[in-house]
Amino acid sequence: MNSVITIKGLCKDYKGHQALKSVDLDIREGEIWGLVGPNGSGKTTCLQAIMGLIGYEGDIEVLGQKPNHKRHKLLENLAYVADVAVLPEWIKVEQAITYMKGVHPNFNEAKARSFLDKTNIKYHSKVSSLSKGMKAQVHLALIMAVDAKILILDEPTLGLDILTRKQFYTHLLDDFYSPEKCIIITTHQIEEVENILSNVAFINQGSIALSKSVEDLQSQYKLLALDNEKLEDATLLKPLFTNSLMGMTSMLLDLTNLSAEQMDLLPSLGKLSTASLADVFVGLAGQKSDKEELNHG
Amino acid sequence: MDKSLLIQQIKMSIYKEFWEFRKSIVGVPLVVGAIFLAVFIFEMFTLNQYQQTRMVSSIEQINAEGMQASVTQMSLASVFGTFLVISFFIQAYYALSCLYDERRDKSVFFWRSMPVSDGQTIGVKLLMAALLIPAVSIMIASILSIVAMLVMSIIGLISSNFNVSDIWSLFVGGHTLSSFLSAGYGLILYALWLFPLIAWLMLASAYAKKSPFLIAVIPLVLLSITEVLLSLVFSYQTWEIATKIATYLSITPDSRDVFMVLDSHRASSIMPINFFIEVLHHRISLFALLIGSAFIFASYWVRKNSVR
Repeated sequence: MNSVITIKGLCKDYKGHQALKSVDLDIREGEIWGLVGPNGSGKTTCLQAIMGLIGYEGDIEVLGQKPNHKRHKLLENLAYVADVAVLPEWIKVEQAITYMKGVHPNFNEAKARSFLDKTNIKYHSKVSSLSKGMKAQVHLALIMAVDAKILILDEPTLGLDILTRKQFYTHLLDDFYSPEKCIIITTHQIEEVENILSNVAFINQGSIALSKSVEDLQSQYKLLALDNEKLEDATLLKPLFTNSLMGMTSMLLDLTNLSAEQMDLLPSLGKLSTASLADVFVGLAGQKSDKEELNHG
Repeated sequence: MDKSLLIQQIKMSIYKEFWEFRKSIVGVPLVVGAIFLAVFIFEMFTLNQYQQTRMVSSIEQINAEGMQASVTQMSLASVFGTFLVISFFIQAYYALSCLYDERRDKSVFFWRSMPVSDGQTIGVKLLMAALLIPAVSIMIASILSIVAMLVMSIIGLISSNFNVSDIWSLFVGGHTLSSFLSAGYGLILYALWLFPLIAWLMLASAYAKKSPFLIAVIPLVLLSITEVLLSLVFSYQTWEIATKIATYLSITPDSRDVFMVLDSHRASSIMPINFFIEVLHHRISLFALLIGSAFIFASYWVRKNSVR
């Protein structure tokens, strides 16, 4: 599989505040990446650098070129939704389709229409007359109808109801995705994208805390559910986070940290299950802030 | 870049500007034109016997003295002039809005996610502001003039007082068609003349956080105040930038212009429309064009680098 985006030592400084600290990423065709992290962790800055919207230090290659050099050429193969509420208010849906058809060599009009036909949106409606969710739907329909090699979605489902969110992700896989494309998504609703992602990068305070394929991640991190009486033994396993509720405790374990004996001990302690991305995210983010506290304390 | 794609993109970007500003670019001159026409038609059809006789005799006199050209052209020039003044306000409004509105409603994020370069966007907006908006106004003015001539011809046909051939001789002898062509040429000169101002307004539109109008006006006011203060302190006029700007933009041709034009022709028989064209020729300066280019480049830079 060919690399479509390679990032080496990406740094970004905002007037003394280091938004990104030496980020490395290698994204290949066919992959669907989730970029997750707490608010203000640097996700959006990282995406903006990839999309050629800001200056940066380090090396980024997107489809073999620097993103802020001949950016308009790159945008023929890089489609993105950086913020969903940004369609011009005065434009009619029909005009937006005509415009895209005129300026975008890779825009597929039929695709956009087939997506919009499934909604209640009328072609002669002005964007200003649509609800916030409908505006997002129009924007996503337009962008996903672009036959681009890379699709970047920064919080694409913000403001959409649950049904539309589900539809959107199905549509993303069925109608947009193909093995020679790649998709990068940031979202706070990790549980919704969990089963479509192939890779995940956790970004925290400007650096990548972890970047792995979802498969590896799920075999590395496990949730252990145990009774409180076995808590003491289990704490020796250095759980990433512990959560006690109604006499039961669940802990997130990093299996790569455990010795062979500890591994053997696991089944006797409690029930082992696959950790969700959300669990891993909370665990990693919590661990980071504990360290911070220790450092500052 | 693929040439046909580039042309297609420019065409679509122009459409987009027309969609967005349709009401001001087309609507305003159309409404003004319709009012003019309605008043004209009403006047023409309610002429009394005395007024009709006066008109017939003056048309005959003009034809007899061979004055068709100056009379017809003077009327056309005043129609075009009126519409250019209207167009100027639309142009200023457009130039101040075109890069500011897209940032205010955040749609610039959408536009910049399209494979259209910032240079192309600025170029299209400049073309709109400097040339296409006045072209629409002049086109509406031309249609208005043609309809007015048709109305006069109809009156000539149905009224026993008028002789339709006299009316037609007025138009033909007035070089009406070539006047429209001259107006088209004059439009290009007009665009070049106003280019520095339009570029300045576009820069204010690209840069302003709140009011592009104030951003455009305040530096000029400060400049004038500084000059006045300096001239008071040094008790003589050392700085003349504000005066130079005012002279450059003044729409009344001053005596110097008139002399220059008449001098180059050494005859007083120059046609009114051509006279204005010549005045414009004398106004356009390389220096002003260079300053305008600097403003446009700055607008491009601001859009490219400050808008995410």
